[in-house]
Amino acid sequence: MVYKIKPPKSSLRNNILIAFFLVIALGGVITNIVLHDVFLSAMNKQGLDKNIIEDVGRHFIIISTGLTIAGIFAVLFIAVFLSNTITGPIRKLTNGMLNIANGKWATRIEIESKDELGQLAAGFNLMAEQIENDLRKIEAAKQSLSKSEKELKKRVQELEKFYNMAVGRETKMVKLKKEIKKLKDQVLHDKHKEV
Amino acid sequence: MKKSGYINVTKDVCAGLLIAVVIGAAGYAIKRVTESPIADPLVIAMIIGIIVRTVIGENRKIQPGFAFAPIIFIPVGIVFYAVHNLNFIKVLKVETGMLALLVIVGIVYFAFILFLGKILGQRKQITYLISTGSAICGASAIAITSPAVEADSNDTSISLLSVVLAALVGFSIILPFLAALFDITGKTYSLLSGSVVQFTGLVKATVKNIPFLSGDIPAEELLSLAMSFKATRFLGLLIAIPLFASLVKGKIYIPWVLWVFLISGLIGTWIYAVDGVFYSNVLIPFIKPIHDISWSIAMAAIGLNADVKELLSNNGTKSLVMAFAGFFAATATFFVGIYIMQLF
Repeated sequence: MVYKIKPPKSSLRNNILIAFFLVIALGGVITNIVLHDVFLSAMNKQGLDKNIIEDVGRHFIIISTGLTIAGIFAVLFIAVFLSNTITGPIRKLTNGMLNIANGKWATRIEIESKDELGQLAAGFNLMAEQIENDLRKIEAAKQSLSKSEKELKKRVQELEKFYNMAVGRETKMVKLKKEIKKLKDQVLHDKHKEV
Repeated sequence: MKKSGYINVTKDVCAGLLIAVVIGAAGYAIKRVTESPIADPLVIAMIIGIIVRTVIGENRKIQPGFAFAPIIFIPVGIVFYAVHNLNFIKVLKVETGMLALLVIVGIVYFAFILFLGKILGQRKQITYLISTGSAICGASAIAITSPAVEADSNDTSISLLSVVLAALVGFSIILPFLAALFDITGKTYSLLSGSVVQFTGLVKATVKNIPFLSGDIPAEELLSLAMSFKATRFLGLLIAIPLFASLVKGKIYIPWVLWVFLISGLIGTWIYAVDGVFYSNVLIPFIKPIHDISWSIAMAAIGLNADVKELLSNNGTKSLVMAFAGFFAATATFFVGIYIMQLF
């Protein structure tokens, strides 16, 4: 039987991505709306020419919204990188556990990170090693038990043989005794007749 | 024994219903107090509902009330919403070339989101709700379509939140950036917002927040142009509702929602044709709060029924991708169409 785990309904990676995205997107939305209003009223208060306001305003919008869009992509990129550093080792651990469940006792996980996930992987490897050692001992004990069993069987067979032999001899002796007794009786009977 | 059980059930339903009504009314009140076109009472009510549910946890006793509220308030909202928004006469006023562009943008919106839903393995209900919410009219389209596609509270919440987020980023960041970058005219910008922005309130906000564009058309005229485009998009529901309901059922099926929507829209159009002044000055100011409050209560109940963990599931991430990608595809199509029609 091969053990499998159902795919998860939600993933840490997605949750991290959503959290990062929500923060930057909502932050960007609020900042842009507020900045646009503040900027427009400040320009109008200065009593600047309409063409200048339009020109500067257009540049302002390109920069503020463009930076927000760039920020969204940058944050998503960072979120993907960060989430991979967490979910990658977890996925390796899950696969390792499945391998152990499916009897591949020599499975070990290579995680180079020095954080809690690295510790978890080291713990997993220790556990796997311990299980493998114990299993090896059990195997050795099993083999030794099987050897002893064979030895025992051989002894039993020898004993049986000896027993059979001993019993056979006894039967023969009884027979011989009976024969001797019969002969004795015969001799005695013949002597009586002669007398 | 039977009687006391009945009384308990009614009591529990009333308790849940009351909470939904209070939150729905609060959502509407926030909208009225702030008077901001960005503040959509449906979205506010649903977010408050989700927060309350997360704080109080799952309460099986009052849950029936949350499930019951949308059953009453969504149909009421549909009737008044259709009278208000499904106006066939207003649609006829849109230029043919523009109408063709709007139809193409709408088709791309739908097709792209449906395609993404298919390749990402998204739940059918969520895909259909995101496509109608994005291509037609945000929270209202999601509220109308959800009973037709048999969506549960989690489907509705996930879809609505994704569309809201895409709309907020779209109206405040993407559209101003593109408009300023390509230096498009005020007319093109209002057509763009009327074609691709998901929420009616945000279409108004987009046009009011117009980013220093060339062209001398007055702001009121631009707003009216954008709103006429937006009004035309409501017609998409007449196709989307039976199409998606049939796809969910696996056979041709016309849900009751469509009949209610169509008949109410025809009544509204007829009143508009007979007495336009009465329609605009008396009827609309009277019925708009009714559908806003009805749907706010329904959305509050949907939020109260939603599980926040579901919102953070893989379906939530896929929904965000679908809502944003649909918005980008529709915007790109609009620009290509405008370029071909030489309206730049």
